[in-house]
Amino acid sequence: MKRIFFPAVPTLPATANLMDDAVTLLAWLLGLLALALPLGILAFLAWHGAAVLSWEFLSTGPAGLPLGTAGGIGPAIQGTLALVGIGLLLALPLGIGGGIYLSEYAPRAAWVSVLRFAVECLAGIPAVIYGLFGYSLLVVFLALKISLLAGGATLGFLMFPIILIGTQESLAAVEWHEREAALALGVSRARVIRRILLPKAWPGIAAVIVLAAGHAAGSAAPVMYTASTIFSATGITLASPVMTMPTHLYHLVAEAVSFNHAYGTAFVLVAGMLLGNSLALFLRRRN
Amino acid sequence: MNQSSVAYLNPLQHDAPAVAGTDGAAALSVAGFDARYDKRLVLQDVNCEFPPQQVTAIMGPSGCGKSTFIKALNRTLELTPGARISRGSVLFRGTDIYHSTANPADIRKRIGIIHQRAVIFPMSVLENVLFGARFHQIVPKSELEDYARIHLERVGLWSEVRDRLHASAANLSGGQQQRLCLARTLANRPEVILMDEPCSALDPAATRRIEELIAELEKDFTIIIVTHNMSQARRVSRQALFFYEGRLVEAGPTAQLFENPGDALTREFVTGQIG
Repeated sequence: MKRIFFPAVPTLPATANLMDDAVTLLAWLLGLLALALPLGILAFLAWHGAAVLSWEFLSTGPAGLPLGTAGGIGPAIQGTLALVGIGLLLALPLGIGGGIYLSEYAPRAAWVSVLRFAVECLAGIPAVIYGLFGYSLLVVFLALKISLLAGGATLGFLMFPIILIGTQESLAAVEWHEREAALALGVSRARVIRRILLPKAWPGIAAVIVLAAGHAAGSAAPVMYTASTIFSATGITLASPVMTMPTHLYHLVAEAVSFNHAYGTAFVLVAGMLLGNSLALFLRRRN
Repeated sequence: MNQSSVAYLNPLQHDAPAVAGTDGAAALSVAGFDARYDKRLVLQDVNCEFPPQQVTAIMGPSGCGKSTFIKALNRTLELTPGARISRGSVLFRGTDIYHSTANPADIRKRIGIIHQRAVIFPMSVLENVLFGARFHQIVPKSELEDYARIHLERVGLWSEVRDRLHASAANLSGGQQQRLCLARTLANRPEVILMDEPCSALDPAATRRIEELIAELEKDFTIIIVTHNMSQARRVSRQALFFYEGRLVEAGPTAQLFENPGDALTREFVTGQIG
């Protein structure tokens, strides 16, 4: 019987191993730096804001002269939550509906990519442009005045493209076989979407909603000219302006009112967003 | 059978225009049929008939168009992006399922399909079985649970799942999942059942169960099964079709195709020289 000889596999050159070690080390360093940055910011804010952080700070309104040197940010937290809530009332049906249309109903690939391109452009528009748009359309043209309604709707515009893209991607990630197997039973497309595709895509959609809401909650520019006030005496009503966390923070720093209160406000804002993002991560993992 | 019980069996049956000159004896008859993926012709000039209440096997090497063909028989091929029927007709009880007035959802309800990979929906075992039946309102709401049980019993799954009817169906074994898919299709009250390599992902024991079920179902349904496995075709079918490179090469009784093939290509396939 003829014997077959295989050539020995050459060992890797020493430089390859060295290179591998160097790249591994670099990746670790950059990865740790990326992790250290958000944790560092949070620790820094907590350290400087600790002096003012208390239950009173979260629940009471600003006080002192100039306003903000004492008291808390209760109305600002409520205002931001109310703005984001109203924005979601607008952005959820439009964003999820649009995402469903693009993923499940839009007829041709070319048409989908045109629409998708437009939505991506919308998602890339700076927050301050949304503020300007909200001001000219809602505050002035529709005469909503500077109000919770105008600011909430502006945040709705801001969140809409993010939620739409996230919904489309989450639906597109559901395997095509699921649609084929369900439609093969002769049921309607709407039923397949409601009973199979949306439940499967839901963790991804929920995660992107939380991310969009966090982005909206932290943006000062869209609410600066459409909703915010330095002090709200009327409480939370649709037709009146509200305090918000990012604009309150801007006021405290820009007017050099109180840096301790500014750090405290920033900590609450960032901690809230971190909490929201953890929730989003949890929802995504659960699938 | 009186009028109401007929309606009960086929609540969605409608009166699409009959095509003249059709043979009422065949459950399905295909004539001059071409299918394409975009511009590429994948099925060419297929003509054949499927006798009712019999198992017909569709055989052929990978890529011969047999899966494409079986999906075209209940209008699920068009769900694949780019796939389309470019010529010909498929008559189901004398009515062209590709006629402009035919309702694809209705066709799919009456001609069910079991896919190669069992697809379990994200809901309970019970809701999986009832997914189509609920939509088509085949039985009153109060009877749904009994209705599901009948179909789970029919596929031999009842004793295995009776304690977990309301639990997710995702934890069932591969063989159980495929039988659940069969129960789901049966609960739709189809007249024809298409099977696209239903056992290709199953172990021998699970394969045997499916084959036994096919034999039991044959007396009530017209069954068309695509199989890559020649011995399976011999075991389960009475009629067989042999496809090669998008064409129907030979059709006839299964025994004849294996023992006395009329075409050289069929002989090469059944003797294992191509495939």
